[in-house]
Amino acid sequence: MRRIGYWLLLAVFFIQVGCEKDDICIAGDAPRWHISFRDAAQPDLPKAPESLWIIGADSTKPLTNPVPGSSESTEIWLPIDPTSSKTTFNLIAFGVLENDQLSGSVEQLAISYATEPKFLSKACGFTPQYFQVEGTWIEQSKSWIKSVTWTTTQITEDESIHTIIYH
Amino acid sequence: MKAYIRSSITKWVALIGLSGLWAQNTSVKDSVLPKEPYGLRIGYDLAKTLRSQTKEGYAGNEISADLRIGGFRYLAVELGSEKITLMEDSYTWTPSGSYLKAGLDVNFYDNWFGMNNMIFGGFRLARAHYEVKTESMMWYDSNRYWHPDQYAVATEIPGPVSGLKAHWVEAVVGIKAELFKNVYLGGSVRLGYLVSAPKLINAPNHWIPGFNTVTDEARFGSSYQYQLSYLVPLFERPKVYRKKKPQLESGGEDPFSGSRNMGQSGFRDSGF
Repeated sequence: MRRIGYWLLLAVFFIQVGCEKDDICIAGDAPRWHISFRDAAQPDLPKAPESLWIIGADSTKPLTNPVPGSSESTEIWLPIDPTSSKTTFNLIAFGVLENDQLSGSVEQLAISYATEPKFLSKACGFTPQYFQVEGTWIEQSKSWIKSVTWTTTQITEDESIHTIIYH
Repeated sequence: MKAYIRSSITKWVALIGLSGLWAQNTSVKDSVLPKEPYGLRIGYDLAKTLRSQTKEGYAGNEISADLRIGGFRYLAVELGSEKITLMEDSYTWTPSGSYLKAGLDVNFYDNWFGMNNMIFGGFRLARAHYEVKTESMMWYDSNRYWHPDQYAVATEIPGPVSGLKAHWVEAVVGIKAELFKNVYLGGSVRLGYLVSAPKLINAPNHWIPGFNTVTDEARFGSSYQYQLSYLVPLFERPKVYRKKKPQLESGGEDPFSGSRNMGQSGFRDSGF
């Protein structure tokens, strides 16, 4: 009896070892800044800017989605920096890349916000949620944007449109 | 040990045989009925203590008690507390709290006289009261534009979420073997089924003290116990058997029928 007991105990001990967790995050993602481009003459009509380049402020690296220089994006999703209280992007239309020099019409759009964590799941952990969102459109000399509408003060998902740019 | 068992078998077979013969001819006296000690068995979980010392970030202990309530049934309770720091991909967190489990064990092992071992199965109703604290975290974001190398580390971390309660039922199988007189070493495995647990709290919540890991989709959890216990003998009662001893069947007035008849006082051998 005692001997059987020891073996049982040993077995119990080893059953407990060796379980693995499957950590794949499928519960969601951080929301992005959803911008829609519309025709300034016909406000309901989507209109893609020509040869659009999107580069974060203080960055030299263009956003890869949409493809830099694309003229087909009527909607874009811009990543927001959760560690900062402000995210700024340069939107360059009619962009031409020559000898590593990009030229075009530059517009600068920024949002400021307060970041709150939201727990998604065991595998995902915390994603940021943005509240008290305030947008700024800094008009540049070669302006291609006619007007900007800020439709929300919080970015907690990116299905709906947060900003509409008329051009 | 074998020698001991063998000698005790011979001894008791001889004795039982004799007493059977004797019983056929004389009236039964209480003094010849084999007795078993009854009492409160108090235990301590060695596995949690060992884990506390070997695994960094874990602290836990558990005390337990069982009380034989007649036949092969035991009331059993466990009271414990656990705290563990768990590191996930993008955050580190610490659930901590205490739990209470209460239920019934049934011994399926038919002891020879003089032995007091258990191979048992049973159930528990359990509840835990706990809190979760996020120690460190990064912002989960599949986009790497602003932070190319890894998730951005968060500087402000949400505070602990306390006052959480969970309830579950547990199936238990295990053994308890008497090492020395009144000292037992035992172990058990438990399969828990979560009845209620906090949902939608803004914090990780996949580990519950006493229950262990909670999986995303299922409600099952498992735990184990490796226990040293001491029986505080309170009184003795005549020994009961799960099966009739063949030697005794011929005897119309076998001495053990006395213990069977105590069934009326909640003292049956076929309790479960």
